[in-house]
Amino acid sequence: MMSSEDPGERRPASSASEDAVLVARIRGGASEDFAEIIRRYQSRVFGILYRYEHDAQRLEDLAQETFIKVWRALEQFDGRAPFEHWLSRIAVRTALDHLRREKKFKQDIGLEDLGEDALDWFRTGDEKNELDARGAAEILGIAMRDLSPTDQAIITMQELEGHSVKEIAAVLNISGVAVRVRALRARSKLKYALEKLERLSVP
Amino acid sequence: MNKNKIKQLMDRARADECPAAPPDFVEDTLRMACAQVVVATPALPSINHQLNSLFSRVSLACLSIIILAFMLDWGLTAAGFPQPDDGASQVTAQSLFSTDEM
Repeated sequence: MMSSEDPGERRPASSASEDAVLVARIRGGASEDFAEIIRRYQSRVFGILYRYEHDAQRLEDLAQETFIKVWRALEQFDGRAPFEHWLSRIAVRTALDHLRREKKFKQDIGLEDLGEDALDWFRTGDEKNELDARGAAEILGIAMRDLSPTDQAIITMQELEGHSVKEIAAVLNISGVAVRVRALRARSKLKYALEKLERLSVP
Repeated sequence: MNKNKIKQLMDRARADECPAAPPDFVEDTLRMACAQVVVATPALPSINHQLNSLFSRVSLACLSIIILAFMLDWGLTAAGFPQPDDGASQVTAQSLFSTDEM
C-alpha cells in the first residue's frame, strides 16, 4: 500500500525539465522511454483515480486507459503547463468518463456495501466514534452516488485533494463561478445523501 | 448530520490509502500503448464543402430530370401522340371564337 501524493506537493524544476526531455525523446521515436513516464507517474495516477474507483481491477484498467490517452495525446502537449498537471488533468477526465459510463449517480444509495464500522458510525451519532479511513471512504463513495459525475469530481478535488477553484475550473473546462456554484449545491446534496444513509442505518 | 461529523468523514476519507500499482503495470501499459495504431482521423469537411457537394448532387438530379422530360416530349411527339394543349386549342378555336354563332 502507498499513500496518494499530497496535492500540494510539486515536483522540483529539475524533474519538470527531465519530463520535457523525456517527452521530446518519445516524440522523436524513443517509445521505450514512455516506460519512465509511467514509472514516474503511476502512483500519482493511481492516487487520483482511487478517489473515484475503489475496485482494484477497474482501477488498474483506468490507470492504463489514462496512460494510453497520454501516449496518444503526447504530440499535443505544448509544455505551457508542467507535464504532471497535464497528465493529472487527463486522469481526472478519464475518471469522469468512467463515472458517466457507469452512471453510478443513477443508482439508489443503500447500505448493503457498508461495513459494520461504517454503520456504527452513523448509528452512534458520536463524533468520537472510531471510523477508519477505509470506512470513511466507503461511506463517502456511496453517498456520492447521488451526485452527478461533475459534482463528484468537484467535491473530490476540492475537499479531498485540496485543489483551488481555478485548478478545478481548468480541469473541468468550466468557469470559476460555475465551480463555486456547483460546489455549494454538491455539498448540500452530499449532506442530504448522508442524512438519508443515517436514517437508513437506524434498525 | 452536523457539520463536524461531515468534516470528520472528509478528514478520514482523505487519509484513505491507495493500493500500489501491480508490479508488471509499467510493462503491460507500455506494451498496450505501443500496440496502439495511431489512425489519423480525417478532418471534418467544411460547411462550404458540404454545401458544394450537396448542391452539385441536387443540380445533377435536376439536370437529369430536365433531359428526361425533353426526351419524353420528343418521343411522344414523334410517335404522334396529341400534345396536352391540343384539346384546349380546339375548344377555343371551335367554340369561343367560332363565327358561326355570331
